[in-house]
Amino acid sequence: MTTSGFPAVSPAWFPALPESVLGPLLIGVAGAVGDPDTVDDVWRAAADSVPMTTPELKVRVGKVLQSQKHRRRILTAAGTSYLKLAQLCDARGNESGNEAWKRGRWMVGIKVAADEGERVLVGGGRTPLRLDVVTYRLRAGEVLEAQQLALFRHYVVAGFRALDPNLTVLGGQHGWQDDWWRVTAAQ
Amino acid sequence: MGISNKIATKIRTAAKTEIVPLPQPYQDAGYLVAAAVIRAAAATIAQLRLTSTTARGKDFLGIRESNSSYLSTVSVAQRDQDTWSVTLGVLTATGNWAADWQVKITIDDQPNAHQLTLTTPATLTKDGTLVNKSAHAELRDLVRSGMSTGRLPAGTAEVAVSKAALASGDLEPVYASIAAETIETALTVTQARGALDRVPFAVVARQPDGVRWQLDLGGALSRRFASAAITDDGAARTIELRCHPEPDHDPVTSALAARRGIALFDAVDRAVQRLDPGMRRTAEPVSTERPAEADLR
Repeated sequence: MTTSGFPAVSPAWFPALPESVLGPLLIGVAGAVGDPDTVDDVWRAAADSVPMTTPELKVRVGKVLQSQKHRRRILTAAGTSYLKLAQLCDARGNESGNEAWKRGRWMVGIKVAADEGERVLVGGGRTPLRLDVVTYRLRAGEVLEAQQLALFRHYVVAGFRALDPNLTVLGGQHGWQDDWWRVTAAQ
Repeated sequence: MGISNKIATKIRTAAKTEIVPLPQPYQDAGYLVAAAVIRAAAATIAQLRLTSTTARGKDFLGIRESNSSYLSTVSVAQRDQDTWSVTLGVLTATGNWAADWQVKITIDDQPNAHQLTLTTPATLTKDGTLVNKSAHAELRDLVRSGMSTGRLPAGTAEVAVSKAALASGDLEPVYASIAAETIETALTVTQARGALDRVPFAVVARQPDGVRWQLDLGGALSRRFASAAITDDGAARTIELRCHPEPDHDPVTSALAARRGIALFDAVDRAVQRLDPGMRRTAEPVSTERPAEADLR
C-alpha cells in the first residue's frame, strides 16, 4: 500500500484477455513511432483497411418506415481525452463524415499512457500507447460489429509492428483469424 | 398495487454513492479496473438475452410497431474516462433509443478516495414497475461489488461475448480495388525512399529503387503483396504503385486484400504529401468487380 492508502500500481491492473475484442491494448513502441504523426498514419491506414459493408436499416421518412442501404465504414477523428478516435459509422446517401459520425456503432481511442506503471509494463524505454474501446454494443450474448472491430485492432498493431518489429503488445485481442469474417450466403 | 410498484421502482432506481478502492493513479490504473468491471457487468447482462419493445412516447408509430418485441441491446458509452452510461433497450427507426433503463456510472477521483455514484436517469415502467428490473438490479450489483474489490474481474463474460460474436460472423464486405497508381513528386530518390519507409505496412524487400510490401503478416493476406518503384526522369521522380487484384474463391479474402491495397496507396500518398505538398497522384479508377472465377485457372 502507498502512504495515501491506495494499492500500489502493479502490472496486475492491466487486463490480459487476448480473446476479448473489448479489452484495452497496451502497445510499447520505440521513440519516434509514438509521435502523433506516426500514430495518425497507423490509425488511418488501419481504418482504411477494413472493408465497408452495406447493411439495410430502417429509416423513418415522414410517417413511413423505409429500408435504406447504409455505408458502414470506419471514420477517424482527433479526440480530447484521446489522441485519435475511430468509429464504425453508418452513412446514408451522400452524407458527409461529420453527419455519419453521429450514427456510430463502436468507438475506439488511442493515447499515450503517461502512467509510470504502464511504461514499466512495456519496458525498454518504449512509449506506451493505450487503445481503449470506449463505446460498444452487445446483443444476445455477442459484441455487435465485432468483425470490423477485431480487424481494426489487428491492423493497428500490424501497422506499429511494421515500423517497430520489436514492439511489445499486452492486453486484448490483436490477432486475426481468416474464419472470423466469412460469407455463407450464395454469391 | 400500482402505488407500491412505483415506490419499489423509486427505491430500486435511487442514486447510490460509495467509496471504492480503485488503484491509483486513476487516469491509468484505476480507470483500467473500472472499465473492466463495467465490461464484465454489461457482458453478463447481454448474455441474459432479454427483450425490449419500441412502444413508447414519440416513437410510437402505430399498432404494428407498438407490438414489436426485439432482443435487447446493451449499449455502453464512456465519457472522459470517469463516466459511463449503460443503456438497455432497442434502437428505433428514428435513430433514438427506446430505453428500458439507463444507468450512469461516475467515478469521482478525489485526493484520498474514489467515489462511485450510480444513478438511473432514464426508466421505462409498466404498471409502475421498471421494465427489465432484474437486469437493472444485477448490473448495479455487479458494478458495485466489482469495484468494491478494487481488482480486475476474471473477464469470463467479456471473453464469451467476444468469442460468440467472432464465431457467428456472416457479413458481406464491399469489394473495391485499385490496381495501380502513379505519384509524381519533386522529392529526391532518397527522400522518396524515406517517405516509403514511413508507410505502416510490413516490408518484405527493399531495393534502391523501390519497396515490396506484404499486405498482412499472417493468414490469407500474407500471400498478397504490393510494390512501389521509383523512377528518376531528371525533372521529377515518379513512384509507381501496384497491387494486383488476384482472383480468390473466397469473396472475403478478395475484399480484404483489395481494401488493404487501397489503404496502402493512401498511406503512401500521405507519406509523400507530408514531405512534398505539391505531389500529383494519378490512380486507376476504383473497380468493384471481383476477378472472375475463370481467371482462377
